[in-house]
Amino acid sequence: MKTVYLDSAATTLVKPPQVAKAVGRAIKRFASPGRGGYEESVKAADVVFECRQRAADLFCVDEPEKIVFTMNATHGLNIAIKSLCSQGDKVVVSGYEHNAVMRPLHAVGADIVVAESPLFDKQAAVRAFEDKIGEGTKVVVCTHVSNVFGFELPVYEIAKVCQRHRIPLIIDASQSAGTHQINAAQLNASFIAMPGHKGLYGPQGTGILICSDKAKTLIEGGTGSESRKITMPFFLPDRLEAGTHNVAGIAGLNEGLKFVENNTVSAILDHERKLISHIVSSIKDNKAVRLFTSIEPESGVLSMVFEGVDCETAAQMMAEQGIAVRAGLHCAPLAHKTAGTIEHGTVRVSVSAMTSVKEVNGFISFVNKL
Amino acid sequence: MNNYYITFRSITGAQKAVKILERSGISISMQRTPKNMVTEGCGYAVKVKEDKAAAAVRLLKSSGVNYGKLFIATDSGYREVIG
Repeated sequence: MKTVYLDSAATTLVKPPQVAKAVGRAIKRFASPGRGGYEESVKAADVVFECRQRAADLFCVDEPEKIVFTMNATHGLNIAIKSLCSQGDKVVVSGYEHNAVMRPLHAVGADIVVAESPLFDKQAAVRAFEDKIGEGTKVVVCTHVSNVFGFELPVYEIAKVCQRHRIPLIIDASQSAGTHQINAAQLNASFIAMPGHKGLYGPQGTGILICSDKAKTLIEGGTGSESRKITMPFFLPDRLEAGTHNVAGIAGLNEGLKFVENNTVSAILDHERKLISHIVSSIKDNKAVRLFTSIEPESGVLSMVFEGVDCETAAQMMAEQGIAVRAGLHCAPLAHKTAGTIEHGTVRVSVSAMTSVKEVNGFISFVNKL
Repeated sequence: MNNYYITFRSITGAQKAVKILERSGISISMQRTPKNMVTEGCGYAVKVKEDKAAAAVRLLKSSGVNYGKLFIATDSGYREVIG
């Protein structure tokens, strides 16, 4: 039974075939970049640089050095948060943040202030940030698209509020990289973190952190540069890339980025929105289903709850029928608190550029028979 | 003809330089910086023929690419070129 895969917000299981080919090629042929002058090391370095430059072009970053490779978005967010925040610092966040933001903030002992606003109300979100940001605010952290509800927060407007107050901004682009326009030059954020393995179609174990501010190291080690010094280099990307790179992963991510480039971010988002619209219009009249959606879907993510069936049981029933969704709190209890779903969680459906109408129809049929 | 070596503190800087110089038609190659050209430890250098060296340096400066040092390799060894 072929799985109907609707959990792309967790990871894009179905990737363009060239991604796996690039990973396989790299494992067989590429050594460690930045360590040797021989062919296998230079070729590894070439693909790492190509990926870095491609990411810089896609996200409008002026220097490829500002593209830092990480293990995932969580890694990047930890670097960003621990670079800018200390114990007792007032940090303003949206009501939709993932634990990848909340847990590091809690760990550093930040004074977290939530700019609460209702689901899908962009103007209210901006007002909430304007209200909470003030004297004493050290940093603002905001997710671009909620991983639970698919709500696209107005990060460009929020960035302007931060700029007016001269407060650094960290953006979690986990659910928007590859689907929503991310113009780092316009956003002027201190850090933008994203995974390589979701909307950028790279392998798990890859991520990108766009660094426009001084960063503290999370780990120290060899960089293949300034080796005589006991301290980590001060320049990027070396400062934040200690140890051997995940070259095979980055080679795969390079192909994923090419896929996004070739298909264009706007076309991919259009495809995903249409699929979500189709699901919404097909099940909205089903009285046993409560959908969390705006008038027009803002991303490829949709949450719902079922009358009389808890979300985990519903997801398990779907799994037994070969339909892959995610249920529960999605590592984002704050988002559920904001939306009023913290007690029971939701079933989340999330699509990608590789999801077909046929797959979505399979899900719709199942729900309407539930 | 002698070779010039433009040194960089990191491979990423050297790769950026390679891209800019190749695009403008200057033939270069990238390699690990010879030991007597480095002070802080490891690095990468871009090797360019003497007749293209001045143009290469000018291009990197105008492109905002920071490099470390400039060396000339002659039969009697390496010598730093200042300015």
